[in-house]
Amino acid sequence: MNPLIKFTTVMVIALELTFIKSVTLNVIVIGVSAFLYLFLKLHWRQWLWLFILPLLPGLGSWFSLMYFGTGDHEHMAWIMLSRVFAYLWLGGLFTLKLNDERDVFLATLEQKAKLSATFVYALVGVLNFMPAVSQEMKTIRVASQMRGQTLHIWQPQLYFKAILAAIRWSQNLAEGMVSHGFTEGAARTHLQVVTIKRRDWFLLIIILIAFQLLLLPNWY
Amino acid sequence: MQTISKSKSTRWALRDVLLLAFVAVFIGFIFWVLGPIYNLLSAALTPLGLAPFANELLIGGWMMAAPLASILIRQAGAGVLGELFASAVEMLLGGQWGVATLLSGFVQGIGSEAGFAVLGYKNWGWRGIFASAITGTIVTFIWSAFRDGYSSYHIGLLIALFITRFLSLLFFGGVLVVAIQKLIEKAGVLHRD
Amino acid sequence: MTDLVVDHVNFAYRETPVLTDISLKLRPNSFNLLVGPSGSGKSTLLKLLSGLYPTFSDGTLTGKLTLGGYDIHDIVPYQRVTHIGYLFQNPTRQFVMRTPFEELRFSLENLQVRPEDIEKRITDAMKSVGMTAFMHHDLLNLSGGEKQKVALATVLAADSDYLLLDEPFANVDPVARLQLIDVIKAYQSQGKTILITDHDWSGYTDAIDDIFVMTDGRLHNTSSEERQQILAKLPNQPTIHTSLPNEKEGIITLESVTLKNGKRTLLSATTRLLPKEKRILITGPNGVGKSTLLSALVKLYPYGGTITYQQEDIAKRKIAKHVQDIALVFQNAEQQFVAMTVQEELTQAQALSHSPELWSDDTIVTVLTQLNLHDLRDHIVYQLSGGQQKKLQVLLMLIIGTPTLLFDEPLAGLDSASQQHLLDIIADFTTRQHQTVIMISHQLHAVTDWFDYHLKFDNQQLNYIGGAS
Repeated sequence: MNPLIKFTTVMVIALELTFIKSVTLNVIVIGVSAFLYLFLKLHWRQWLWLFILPLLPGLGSWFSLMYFGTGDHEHMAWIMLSRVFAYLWLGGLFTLKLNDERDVFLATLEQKAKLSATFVYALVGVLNFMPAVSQEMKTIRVASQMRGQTLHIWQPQLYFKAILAAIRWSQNLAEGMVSHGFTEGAARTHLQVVTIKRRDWFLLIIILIAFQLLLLPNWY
Repeated sequence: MQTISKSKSTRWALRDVLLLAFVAVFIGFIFWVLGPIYNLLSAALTPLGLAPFANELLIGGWMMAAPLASILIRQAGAGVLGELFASAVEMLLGGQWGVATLLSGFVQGIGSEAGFAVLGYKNWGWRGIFASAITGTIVTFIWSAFRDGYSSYHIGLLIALFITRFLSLLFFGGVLVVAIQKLIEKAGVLHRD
Repeated sequence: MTDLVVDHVNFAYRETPVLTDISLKLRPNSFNLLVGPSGSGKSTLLKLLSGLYPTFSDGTLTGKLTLGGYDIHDIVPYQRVTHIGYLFQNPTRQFVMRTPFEELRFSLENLQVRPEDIEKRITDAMKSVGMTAFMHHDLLNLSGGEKQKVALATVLAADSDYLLLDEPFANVDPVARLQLIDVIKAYQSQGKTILITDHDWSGYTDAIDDIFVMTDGRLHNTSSEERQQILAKLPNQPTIHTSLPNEKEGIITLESVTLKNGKRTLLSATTRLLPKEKRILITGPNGVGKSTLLSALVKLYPYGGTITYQQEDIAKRKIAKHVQDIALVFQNAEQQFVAMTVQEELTQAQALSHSPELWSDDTIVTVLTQLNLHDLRDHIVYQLSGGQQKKLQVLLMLIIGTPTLLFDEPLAGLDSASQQHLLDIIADFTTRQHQTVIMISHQLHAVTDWFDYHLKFDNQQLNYIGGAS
């Protein structure tokens, strides 16, 4: 399935889950996701993550609602616990395969979703800079320590230094992009042309319709 | 040879978009480092039923990209875009909460930007910044009412959560951003047309 | 070939003129050298010629720069680039994509090259610069020289008529430099026109047709006599006079230390000691790991084995305390500023100095004057030129007086007079403060007689070289 189609499907359902108050539906979403994971051949560590990661925020909400809720708060507590799992398991369908699909996802955004190339390549650019960003932050802290000043998270100087780096880097990258021929708003050719299969569109529509039908009964 | 006509100017200049993106990832990185501390705090508060406070305390930091984007670019949409960049990068790096992050990033961006919008996108100084902290609190709190089940909380807790969130935004999104803006202005490192 | 013409150009930032009344026309198929002290406006002229300025600056331009009669900065970039190629001094922050292949693809897609031609053009260009083996490597892990080759490959792939190079070798080692020069000469022989700014033209003196001199924003074309004078100024093979250390103890010791960049081994298990209160030069090809080694010494880069500082394992030392004893003068000066104005920076450094009695106000005035910084005391540090920032940064770190000071290319980008002044000041004060100095430098012309010991970093080895002491 094209990653953008997959993303859209997941996004729409996740948005709906935010407003649906039903444990059953959350469990259904978790169940269907779990079924699909069987085909994705996950590493055991990824399974572990899927179970552990939602636990903390899920239980956090559960305890708060049990202690400090009003009205039908016990129901709400279980909804929140299951919802956190549903969010993560559903989202995981997209994010766990992203490493292999990132380039296609971005190419689809540019070629099919007609997102301006400026945004797409800004995103690509900063993604490729992430290792440098982490090194730069370390360097910023150590460089001022060498001048006898420790920068803390509540000090504006820390952010000023980070923004200064952002200003310099964005200027350099913009010059780099333009010097490599990038033209805002101009047409580009594509070495790899993205196509979205008809089957993908079909699946998207079926899944979304099926999910709406699921909403009809008055689930717990 | 094709030339750029002098009148034509794209709404989102490449340089501005890149600046937004870089600011978003730098700020994101600063607060990403706090992740383990947040988890510890959250875990410690969980048995007391007070876990949401961990989130409330730090939310101002997570949302900083939005007001910073607004004051740096001074353009409608900058706040939303800044916060979207922050969450999109987190998602594309394989952040486990990927899709949910993108949704809340969008809401947070809207909330923060609303403050500047209310003032007609004319005030990018401390007034706009504090307005953005206020609207940011309100909008994201409404979102939490749905997404995090806040609507089922006892009113006392709800007020405490709201105040905590407001204070967090007031400090990170307000006081700190105003101070950062002063430094940037003084250094003269940002060139606006 | 379309004519590139500069006609009575003035360029200024606010009230400060950078370029004054510049006119220039390059002869087709010529190799042109542009020289002048740092900060004289060479880079600005090149950026204007490339069309990046005034768009990417906040300066104001009067006069005309034209390509075939069109204003250069008005031509859409995807067409401009096929006529004018531009190479940055430091390509690191100018790549958008992750690998050389992707970067070239990005560029060719921008130029709207037909998809079926793209791969061949990438392969050909990468072959010309000898980088085919690195096609899918992570750009972040390439050395300065390798990155510069990739940057050059993008220009070759675009087949630009003019090639503008802004101090392209400032971060490139001698071997890679000669390889790059060969590629540039070969490119010229295809009928292209070259314009290069540089402080050091050893290795391509014979290729130079015309020399332009920039002084304080004014340009003049040289007579053949001046040309001879300029070209004769540089000795070609500097010899460095150092001896071998016979100390038994070092202030820093490396015990089976290894360094890696990704999967690539930079340094294989090395045991070496660095004696106290000596000046130690580290040289070696770029990308070999010299900067990485310095980063490891200040705990900014992971390493294998043990590094000790005064017999103490640095892994066990808290970073804040560690850097009170051993500090690095970073390549990027801006990273090391903590205040706003030059004066504020100086005051801060004085307050924290290890030898406050040495750094009296009078001393500072003298040094500032030597470095040509005296009139800039109330200037904002972020608005100084690159050379001024570098000189100030070095001075600030000298004032702090950290017992061991590491310098990463402190002379790069400075003209030879500034280099000499700065070295003299470093020598004077590090001696008086009994500091240990470890320096990476490619500016070998300036440093021949200055060091006690010389560490050569090559082939994953780090060895002392020089005559016996």
